[in-house]
Amino acid sequence: MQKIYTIIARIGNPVTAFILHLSGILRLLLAALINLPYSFLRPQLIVKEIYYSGVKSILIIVVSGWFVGMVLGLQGYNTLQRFGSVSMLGSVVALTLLRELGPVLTAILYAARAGSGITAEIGLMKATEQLEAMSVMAVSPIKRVIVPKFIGGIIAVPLLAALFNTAGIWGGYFVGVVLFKLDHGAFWSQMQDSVSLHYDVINGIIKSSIFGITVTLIAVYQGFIAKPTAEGVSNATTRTVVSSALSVLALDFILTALMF
Amino acid sequence: MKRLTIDFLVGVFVLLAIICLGFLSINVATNSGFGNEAKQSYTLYANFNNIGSLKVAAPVKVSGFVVGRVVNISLDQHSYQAVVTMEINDKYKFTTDSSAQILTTGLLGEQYIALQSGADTEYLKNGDTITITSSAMVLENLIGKFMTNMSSK
Amino acid sequence: MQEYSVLMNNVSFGYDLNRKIVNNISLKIPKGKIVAIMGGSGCGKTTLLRLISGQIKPDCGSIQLFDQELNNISNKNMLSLRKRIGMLFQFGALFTDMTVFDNVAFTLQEHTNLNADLINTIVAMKLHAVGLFGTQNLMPQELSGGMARRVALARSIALDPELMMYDEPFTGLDPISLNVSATLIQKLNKSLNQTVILVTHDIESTFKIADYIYFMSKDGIIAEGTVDEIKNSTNAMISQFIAGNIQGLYNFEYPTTLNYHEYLGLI
Repeated sequence: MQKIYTIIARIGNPVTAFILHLSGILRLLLAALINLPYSFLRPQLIVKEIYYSGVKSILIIVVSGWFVGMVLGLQGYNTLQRFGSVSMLGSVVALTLLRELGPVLTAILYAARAGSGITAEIGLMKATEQLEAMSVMAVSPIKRVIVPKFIGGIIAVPLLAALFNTAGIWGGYFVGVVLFKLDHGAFWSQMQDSVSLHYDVINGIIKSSIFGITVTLIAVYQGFIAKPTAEGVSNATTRTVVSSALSVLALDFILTALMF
Repeated sequence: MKRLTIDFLVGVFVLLAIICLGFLSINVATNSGFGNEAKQSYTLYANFNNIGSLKVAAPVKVSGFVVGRVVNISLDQHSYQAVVTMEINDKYKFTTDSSAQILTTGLLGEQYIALQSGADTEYLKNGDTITITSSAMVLENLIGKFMTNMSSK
Repeated sequence: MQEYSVLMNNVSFGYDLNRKIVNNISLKIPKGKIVAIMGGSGCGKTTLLRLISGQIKPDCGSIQLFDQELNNISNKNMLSLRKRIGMLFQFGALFTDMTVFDNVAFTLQEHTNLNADLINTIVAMKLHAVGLFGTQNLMPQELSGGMARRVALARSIALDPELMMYDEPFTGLDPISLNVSATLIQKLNKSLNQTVILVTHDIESTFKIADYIYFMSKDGIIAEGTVDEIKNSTNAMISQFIAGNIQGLYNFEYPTTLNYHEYLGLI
């Protein structure tokens, strides 16, 4: 009897934990939204966050985008060659990047590069009593620390996704036109033919904004609930990257189903 | 780091991203299909007996050059013909005896509408219907015809 | 009539139900006085400061801060009360992503509309008061532990609070810094007529600057009085604490039902 009880409890445990985390994240979102107006009075704080999470991620985003584009170019070329339609390469590369890979990979790279940093920063601020000191000084950590990071993330991720997509398309161009000597006019015109501003570009931007919100929220939340020890903070950064990646991929499926 | 340096770098980042967005929306995507369509384009209709697998947002081409897009496909309840609504760029005018044809890019590619201008002196206006149409080539019908031809010989 | 900055009445608090950290504490902190709260490690002194600054709510009992009851105070009122108090954390709790200047200027920038020149002047004055003028552009990690704590002190007195709470301000300081800190606490108290709550277990400095002393243990307040009263106290626990004797009434070991000798199988 006791054994069955334990087994069922073990099944129930991850579910209750998931619901608890979800409610924590949603409450954080609510608190951030309520305190949103305050942050626009202090744009300098947001600029600083965009610098730390956005500007410092440019290099990794551009380099990754370039390589992803080159891989798409290579694989696309090899496959399209069999059907004699290598001229479609431009549209294959652009559509794959704009619709899926751009927003998703940008968000995952952002989680690894900036999200983990946000978690570690907030976790350490908590461990060293900085958040407590702030609230004793009558300054709300939500307003002063969380909301600027939140807005910074929402602004930075779509911009980074645009950089990623551009770098990727040029990577595909490099493989297709420079290496395989495709006609560059066909490359661009096929691309322009199949990519629509509304369906592909705008929807991609919407996607990456939503991913930006998700990743930043998870990062901030994990920092908040991190145990104030070295081990706790390191576990929290790991959890940020893992659960960000999972949430982004799951959300991407839902968004794709809704959009395209 | 100094505040001015941070501001500068963030500014560079935002400008760079805006240039990329501009590149994506001008160089990569077609300009038609969003927002400005209502002002710079006009609507034409065409009735087809069979549209095959033509989809909304399929291109409308003249001699292979994109002049517009399919924005809606509906069914005429009386004639049981498919009514295709097209948005055509204002720059391009077509005579009243123009014909529309549904063609396929390559053997298995996407279907599009090809317009062919006629010899008339009058031009189609906003809301006009193209009367001369030829339907999509459906592979099954083609094979069917081929088979009957073969057996009758 | 004597005015009180803080009044606590039968306050109890525990993070979980079984283990009370603060047990049935009643104390009065008169305005403009230096009141020391002494006691062994882990008897809930830091928790007491958290209760006074309204970060946690007591399980039972009442706390009055500047004549306002904290039990059902609105958030807005709590914030305006907090602007009147300053707190020095045990390890300083400086914001590690800001320079010393930004740390000290933090409350000034958040709560006042002073112009940049004036903020500059105030920060320079506060840093001078703790003997660290000229460190404005350093980052906290470039400071030693003692210096960081002095910067934190400058930060907490930036708004000239009416009530200062010091959490173990003397731990880990060399004799000179210790003396400087003690004198500084006293000077601030005198010049601003500031109420001071001093949580510490440094006996010597406390006897030198405190006006009134509370002795706290896990079971509540065990003694109180002026410095002379405490010095001459016949209470066995207090004389044990002051002398630092290992054997005595003051319970130093963790309360457990396990028997050590039995646990090791010796009996």
